[in-house]
Amino acid sequence: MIKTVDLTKSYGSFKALDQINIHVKKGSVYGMVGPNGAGKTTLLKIMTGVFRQNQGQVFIDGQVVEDHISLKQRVRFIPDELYYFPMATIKDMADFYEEMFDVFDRDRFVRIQALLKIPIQKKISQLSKGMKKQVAFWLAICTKPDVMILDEPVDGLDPVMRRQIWSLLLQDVAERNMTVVVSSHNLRELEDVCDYVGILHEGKLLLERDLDEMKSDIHKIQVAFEASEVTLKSLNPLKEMQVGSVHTIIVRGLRDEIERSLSPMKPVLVDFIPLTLEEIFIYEIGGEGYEVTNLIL
Amino acid sequence: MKLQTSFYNKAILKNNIKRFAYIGILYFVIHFLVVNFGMLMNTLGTTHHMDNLLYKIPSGWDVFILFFLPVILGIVLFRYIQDEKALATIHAFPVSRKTLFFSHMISFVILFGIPLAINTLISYIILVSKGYPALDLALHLSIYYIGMLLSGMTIFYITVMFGMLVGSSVLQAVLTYVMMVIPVAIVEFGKILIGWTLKGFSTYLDDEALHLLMTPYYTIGRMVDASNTEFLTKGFLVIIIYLCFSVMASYVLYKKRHLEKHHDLIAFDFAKIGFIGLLTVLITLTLANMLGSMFYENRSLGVYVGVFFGALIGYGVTKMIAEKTVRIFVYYKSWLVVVALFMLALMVIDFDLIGFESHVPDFEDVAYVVYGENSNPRQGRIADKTVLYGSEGNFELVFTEQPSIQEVLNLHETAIHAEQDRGYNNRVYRLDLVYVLKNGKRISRMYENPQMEEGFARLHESEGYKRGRLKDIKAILTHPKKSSINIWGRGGQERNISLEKSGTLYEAYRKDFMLLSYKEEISYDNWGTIDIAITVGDGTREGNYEILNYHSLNIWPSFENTKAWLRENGYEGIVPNRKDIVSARITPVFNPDTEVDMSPEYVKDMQLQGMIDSVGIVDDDIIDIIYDLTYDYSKDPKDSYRITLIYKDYGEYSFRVGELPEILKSYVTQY
Repeated sequence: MIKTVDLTKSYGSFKALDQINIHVKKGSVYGMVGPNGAGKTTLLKIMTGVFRQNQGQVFIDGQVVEDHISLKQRVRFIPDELYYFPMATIKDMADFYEEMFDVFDRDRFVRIQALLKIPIQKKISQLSKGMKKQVAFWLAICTKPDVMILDEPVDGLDPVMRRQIWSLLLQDVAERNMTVVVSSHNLRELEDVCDYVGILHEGKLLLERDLDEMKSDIHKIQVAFEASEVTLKSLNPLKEMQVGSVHTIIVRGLRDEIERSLSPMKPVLVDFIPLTLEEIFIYEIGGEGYEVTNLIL
Repeated sequence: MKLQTSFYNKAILKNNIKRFAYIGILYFVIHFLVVNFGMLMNTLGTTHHMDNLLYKIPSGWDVFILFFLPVILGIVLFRYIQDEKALATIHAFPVSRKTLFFSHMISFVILFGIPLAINTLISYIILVSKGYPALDLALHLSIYYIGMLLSGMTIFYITVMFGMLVGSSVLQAVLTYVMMVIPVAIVEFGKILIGWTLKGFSTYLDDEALHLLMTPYYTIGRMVDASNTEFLTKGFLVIIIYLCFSVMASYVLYKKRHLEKHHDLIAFDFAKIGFIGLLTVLITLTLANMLGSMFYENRSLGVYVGVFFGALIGYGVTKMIAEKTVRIFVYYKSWLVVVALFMLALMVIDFDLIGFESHVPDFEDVAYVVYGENSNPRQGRIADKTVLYGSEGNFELVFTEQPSIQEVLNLHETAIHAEQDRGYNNRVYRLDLVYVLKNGKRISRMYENPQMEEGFARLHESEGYKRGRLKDIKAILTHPKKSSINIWGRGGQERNISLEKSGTLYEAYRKDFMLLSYKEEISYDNWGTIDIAITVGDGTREGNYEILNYHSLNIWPSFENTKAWLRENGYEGIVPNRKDIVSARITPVFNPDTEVDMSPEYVKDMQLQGMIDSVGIVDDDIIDIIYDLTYDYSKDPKDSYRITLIYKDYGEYSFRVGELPEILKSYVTQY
């Protein structure tokens, strides 16, 4: 569905994106994570045809995005900082969207209004930040896009509203096979909704995986031995800590293989603790020199 | 499917109109007050004259009031380019840059064109109902409307072009307005500087063509004069060229602009060079002009100092702005290069390394020469051979005969090496030449105050010069539309003479003029003046007034044939007549600019107040001496005296003398 090939973008001498190759399957939710300044927003803006890359290309359904009007009809972008025409009401914006896009579902617009309970005659500039965000989703969803690209989408929304927004989006993913690319710092939330995750760091794509696969490939293990002097170097741990006789390690690999490697050491305790996306993110970019040493395991 | 790939986008267009309609309404009101109101006030008068009406259309710099809307719309319609949030939203819409660009253009045409059209239409309806000729008015107002619309679009796109180049709407507005002035300012300042550096460089460029070419939007007022078809065509042509350029430039820049540069003060590297270059040139020229003016006694030094510091400051300041840093000394190398380049350019001009000053055309190549002593130099075109260029001190001669051309070439050669006297002590202080070569090229030279009396005398006493001048004088004196001929002379009287007698007056004048020496011609020793008024055009009156052109011919003291003609034709009072003088007055001139009015009424008033202790000189012997005094205006007027002769009919004649014989000094009126 969405593919980037060797996508590179520089701001002067600074390389914001360096040969990025991502692959997003149709109907999936793709989470783009990375520390501040990793290049997430730049990547999303290039994907939506706002910015131009220096090298490489972005394809959606095999077509180049920039200035491809019929393709852009099917792609909706909600940036992290929203813009509405000054003095515009929600109704004005809805009318504008209806004129601008091939599809605008008025019935859906009315139904969502009942859910959000925001008066459509109200000037958007008078709404709170969270409400402005809701309006952005409200309008975008009514145009029934095939691709939704979201930059920090639920930032500023309360938990109930977050859930409602996500459920609207996921409903479209399920019913219309809509594809979602989302960047967020809220990894806990992404973990719940993403099928795939790409980790960006300093303009480079560190990894891109199916989230379940990723989780099955990296493990947090608590292990204790009778012997006091045991070395776990053979497991190539990403992180290792010892409190008394209990070692906590982060290790890559299949669970069976790790168990097989531990067995000759005769552990008295082996406990595999599930890793969250947030922890995976920290360990992955920690390997790239990002400062994580003070974080508690 | 909506119009996705069309020229414009309906949603964007409607949204623009809705959001900025208030600017259009405001424009309607301002335009009405600035233009239409004045036009409609014209209907209150008794006569409805088209020229008066068209005069209400602003021309020149005041046109800027009418062009605030294109500048504002050029900024607000493309404002999102400089706003990170807005551009991410708008450029993510399914609209290409091309469609966005042209949608904004159509929005502008609607927001600017409709208020203008309504205003024009309202005026048309009211003015026609008040009796103005419908067809004429329709023609003038259509030209005005189209001219304004095209000029407005040009200014709109110049604004947009700067919007694409920079990342700040304030800078965009400043550059737009500066750009409307900069080309003319650079040329004007530049030509003055070159004029100060090269003696023969004519600073009198063709201003009309200059302004038309560089700032066509000021010329709307001239364009509505539909009778001037040449100017009208040129005006439209230049505006269309400007419009095409500005549309293309802004479109290409929009297509090429990287939107992430929204925060950059200058978004393109080449624009940074242009910005620094243009402003450095402007600052350098301005400073050099200022210092050149201040160093009046040594202009060359002033220009050198001005160019040096202008380049130094100009480059430093603009570099500081463009690079957004005060640490400009890191650019010291380029700084030095820029200053050196300016100084080098100045030296190339000053030492005439381009061979401008030393170039005198070959005699064989010259088709004819235009020689003028013109206080209002010609504006571009060579004068027609038959009509009225003015009078003494304001003439143009076309020399086509070989001896005269050779004489002018000799004069030119002499002028190159002649000293330039800064004083203005004689009437001829400028050598103004335009050679038209056989290949059609022109060479212009103008030397101010060249000290070469011998050369001037040879030319001015030549037959070619005399005949050339007399052709002009004859055309004036015998003009079929002359309205009056008024002669004033040392006799103290001023008389209108019979128009039928102009032919014989010319004959008498011609004989005198053929004998006039150069020395007398350039002296200020004036005997009298012939003032001729000629009806302009078809004689259409402006209210109760006839529109006239005035010309003035000098009568020099040696013009005995003219004086005899005056006596023979019954105008004795114009010629001095000692026996009619009853008294005289001598007053000192301390400062000619504040010289006290010595009219009889004033003198009488001063006498009543006891401020003047004499009623005048009545002693015949003393009056005889006064009567024979030589007129002299060439001396420093601070130490001169004003002589007033009072005739028995209370007519007065006054003149100035440089020195007084000892015997007269006690007769000087003190006040």
